[in-house]
Amino acid sequence: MEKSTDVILKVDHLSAAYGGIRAIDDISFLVNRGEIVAMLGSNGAGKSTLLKCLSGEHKRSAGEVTFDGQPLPGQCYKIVERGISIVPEGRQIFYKLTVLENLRVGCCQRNDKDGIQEDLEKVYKLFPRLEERKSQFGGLLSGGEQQMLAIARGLMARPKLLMLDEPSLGLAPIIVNQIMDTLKSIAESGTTILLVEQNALKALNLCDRAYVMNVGHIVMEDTGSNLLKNENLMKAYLG
Amino acid sequence: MINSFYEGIIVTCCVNIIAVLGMSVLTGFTRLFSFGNAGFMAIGAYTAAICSVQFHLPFALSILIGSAAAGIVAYLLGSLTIRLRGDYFLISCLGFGECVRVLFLYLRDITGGAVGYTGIPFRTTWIVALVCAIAAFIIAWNLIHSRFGQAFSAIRENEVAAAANGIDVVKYKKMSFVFSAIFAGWAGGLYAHYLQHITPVLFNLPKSCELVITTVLGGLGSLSGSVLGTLVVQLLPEFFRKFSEYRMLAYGIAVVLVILLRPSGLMGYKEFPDLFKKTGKKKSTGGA
Repeated sequence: MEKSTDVILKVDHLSAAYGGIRAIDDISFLVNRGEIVAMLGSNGAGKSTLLKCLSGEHKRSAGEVTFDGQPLPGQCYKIVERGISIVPEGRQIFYKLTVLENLRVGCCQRNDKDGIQEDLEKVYKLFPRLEERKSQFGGLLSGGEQQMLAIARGLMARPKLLMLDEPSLGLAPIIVNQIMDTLKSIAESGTTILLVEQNALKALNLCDRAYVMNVGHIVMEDTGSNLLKNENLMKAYLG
Repeated sequence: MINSFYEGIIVTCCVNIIAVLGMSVLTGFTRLFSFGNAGFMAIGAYTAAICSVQFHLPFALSILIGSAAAGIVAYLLGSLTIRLRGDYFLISCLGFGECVRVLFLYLRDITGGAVGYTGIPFRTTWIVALVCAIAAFIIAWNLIHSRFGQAFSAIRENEVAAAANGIDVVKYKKMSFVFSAIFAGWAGGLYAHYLQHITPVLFNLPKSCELVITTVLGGLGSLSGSVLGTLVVQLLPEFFRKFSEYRMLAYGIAVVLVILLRPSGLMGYKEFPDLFKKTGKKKSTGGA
């Protein structure tokens, strides 16, 4: 038996399919409280599908997910209520809403005005750029700023677990470094992070542990630094 | 005092403003198109009229029951259809609107059928209409600037992302739909107590289309735009009255011009106060 107090997310034999095609097949893994866990793999490995299953966007066809000691509900909004936020692939910010409105959507389930204000100040501290641009339309931000906004919006729900789907997608290396540093400080302030990435080097440098996926299965699990040393693996799966 | 011609114009404008504000919340802020809101107007109008005439209820109560009836029907219809995507939802509303009209046409014993329902007391004076329109605007404004309004705009912009951020998309869409129906029912009730005689043909498909066109013309995502749009759509035919049948041509041309010159409507995504925030002169008068 695991010590269930440390484990925040437990995925047991999870499967999901698109029509008849199995995208993920019998996946089991754990995320401990306070950890940064990376999920790596090449295109089509099923990483995004896995996150979509966990965020409720895609239906799970089999298996169980336990979050914070209780089974995870199926609908998106209930999952957010339970304390999981997702920063979706491709950022998906609201173009015709201002930065501030984007952030307010992130906390639309909360009713504690003081807490919201406090969290707003917190994310502005994390991303000063967003405060400078708070009354601009989200669509006018640069790619990096949009990614910051997407992360900040996810944090506004005050999640216990923040899941990110390819936060480095389409960003300049220097911005990617900045974002990774921010993720580190978010984790240090107590939010658990589950990160899906193709940029294996960056993700492995950041994470505590990582899983490697290949065509719907988890093929390896280790600490980030150990995986970095494993050259065969880097060649075989991560390029 | 005001003569009956101007009173008619004011009441018609105000009634339409209320219905269009409902459409504005639904279409402009939640991006759901409904070609059936005249059906909700009809439900509001007939319910309020029957309450006044048969049960001698006070005017305000009749209006309230009328809008509540429209809201309840919208809730039931929404429970069935709100999950439909874009065009399919639109068509289901269109079908619903026509069903209501035909139903009222055939329920001769209750509604008077094609002859219409008569004997409704005259209660909607221009003052009542104006007060109601202002109240409707304030209610809609507060809704849009609450966290519900924030959720509506998020759904409009990106449904998937809205859901990922914890918005119960189905619930909020339904809320928006019911809200628009309540406003339509409110407008219908007022209209019935102004005309004193209502027939199902007042609430036909062209009426639904007019509500949608007005909303789009005024600018999606702008409540003040909806008011402006209604004034343009309602007053333009009055200004062109001396051209008799050509005035509908002028109306059509005006609509086309506005769409060409201001593709996001007269006030797309801007509220009236926004126009004065920047130094540039932004005022547009469309095709009027």
